[in-house]
Amino acid sequence: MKYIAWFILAVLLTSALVPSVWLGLTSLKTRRDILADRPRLAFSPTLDNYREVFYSRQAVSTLINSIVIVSGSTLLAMFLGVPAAYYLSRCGVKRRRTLMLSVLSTRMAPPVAIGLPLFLMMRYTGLLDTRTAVVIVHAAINLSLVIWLMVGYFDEVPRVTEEAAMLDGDTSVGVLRRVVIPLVLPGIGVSSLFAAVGSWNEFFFAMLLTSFDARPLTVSLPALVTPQGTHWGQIAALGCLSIAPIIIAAAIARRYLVRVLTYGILK
Amino acid sequence: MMKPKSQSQVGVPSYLAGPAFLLLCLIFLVPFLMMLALSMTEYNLIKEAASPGEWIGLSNYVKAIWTDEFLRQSLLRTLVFAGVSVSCEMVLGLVIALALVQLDLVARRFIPLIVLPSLLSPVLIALMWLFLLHPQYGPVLWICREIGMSLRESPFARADIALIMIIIMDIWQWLPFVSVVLMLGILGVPQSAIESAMVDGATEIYILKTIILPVIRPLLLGVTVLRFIDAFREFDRVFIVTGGGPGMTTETVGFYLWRTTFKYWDIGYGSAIGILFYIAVAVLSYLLYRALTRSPIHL
Repeated sequence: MKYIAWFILAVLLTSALVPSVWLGLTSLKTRRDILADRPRLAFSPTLDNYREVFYSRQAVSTLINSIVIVSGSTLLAMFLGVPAAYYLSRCGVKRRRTLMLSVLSTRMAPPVAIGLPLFLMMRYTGLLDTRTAVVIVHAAINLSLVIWLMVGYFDEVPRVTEEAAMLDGDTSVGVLRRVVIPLVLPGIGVSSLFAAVGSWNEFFFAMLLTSFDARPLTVSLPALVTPQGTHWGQIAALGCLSIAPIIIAAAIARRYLVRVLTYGILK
Repeated sequence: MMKPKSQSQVGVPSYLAGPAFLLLCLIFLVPFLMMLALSMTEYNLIKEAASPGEWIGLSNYVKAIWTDEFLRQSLLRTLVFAGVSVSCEMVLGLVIALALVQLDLVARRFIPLIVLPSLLSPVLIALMWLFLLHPQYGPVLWICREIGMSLRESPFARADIALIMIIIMDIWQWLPFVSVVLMLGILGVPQSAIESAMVDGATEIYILKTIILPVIRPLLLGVTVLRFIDAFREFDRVFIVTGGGPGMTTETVGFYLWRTTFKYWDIGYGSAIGILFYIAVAVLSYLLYRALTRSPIHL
């Protein structure tokens, strides 16, 4: 029986990793090796594809856009989400239930459906094709993750600590900042990490709200697939640059992965 | 002397939650209300004949529900896609989880690697699959050819299997995640209960049915509904890999809605479909949840 389990584990790992590894290999190949009739495992690696990416002004600006959008939206989601989660963790059971469910319901919204009104709103306010537009929308999308995760962490902080600080005459904001936040730092780390991953990976709204100037990586990647021919080397290089931070994030937060992926159904 | 403050006085002021809920309203509630209003108008950005914003009541809904054959087909297709992929993921996931449980600690160590596909962006996954299955230089099709299958075109371009390929992509991305979550659920089942049942001579199937499944039941329900909601809203991968084609064989509701609003700029009608889509997601996930909680086999 154990052999079967080992076999299944091996199959799972192979299937999960082979596409990414192949992408990595492809990013190190020359155009001739990539387009060979039979896929080559033995080839002389080259960094040309990466060099090309960093020499191309378009690719670099796309990377910068992604980084700006990710940092902006993560910061915004944290600044709004953490105090909100603190409130939800401390308000009465009834109100908490309603509010938590309404927060979760935003996760159910079909993006394509709210896409149109958001597009019109951003056009009206002149924010189309700016990074600000994407930052705001990504922050809103990630709020449900941040709030749900952080409520879990705040629940674990005993109220006694706050009560003591309150009696010393501190304000709620002061208590949150000086007493409670230091106790939930791991939660803040995990939430911001995965809010960042969410924004880094998001495609639909980024595509909808940007056309050229503010385009992040997820939008410019598929644009490299053209009927005239596809520059797979560059896609692979950019693809690896987009996988790398995710692998790092997964490695840092490996203990919390499942908690993050199942928020809303598991505590 | 001052009395110690009671629990209720340590209440946190609600303005801490204000900004977050304001943003959520702005990005989710306001668009919903806008759609509700737009859905009752005839408003097409391309057609010049129609005066923009002419009030036509519920006609858009009537059209969507009774006469739009494309919508009905895409809904059916989406249900097939979501139904097949999610049920495969749940059944196979449970089997894999039961196997992995035997490796306990080893399997746990590999979790970040196993669930890697669920952390990657749909865009990247779509592109990787396009490349791996490329008819000329994709390694997968090369292997298929070497073992004697005659494949000259990309499977995504074949009307008969394109939807199956999208289903396989979804399973590839989410089966590992479902397996890992269920594995952790099963590991949480009290070992003493299983052991005492073993002592009483219970079969493994019996233990599975009477001890393990009841304990992980909430988890099974939750994951099923979560996966179903995501699959039902499928858009990204279809958009990049097949563009709804060939023909319309992979057009999901999400994609059809995109086509209506952002290609034909039929804003009034698109909004009506959007509202119905919204309602459908909510209703279907509620029904699914109900059906699963009341199923006679006591999952």
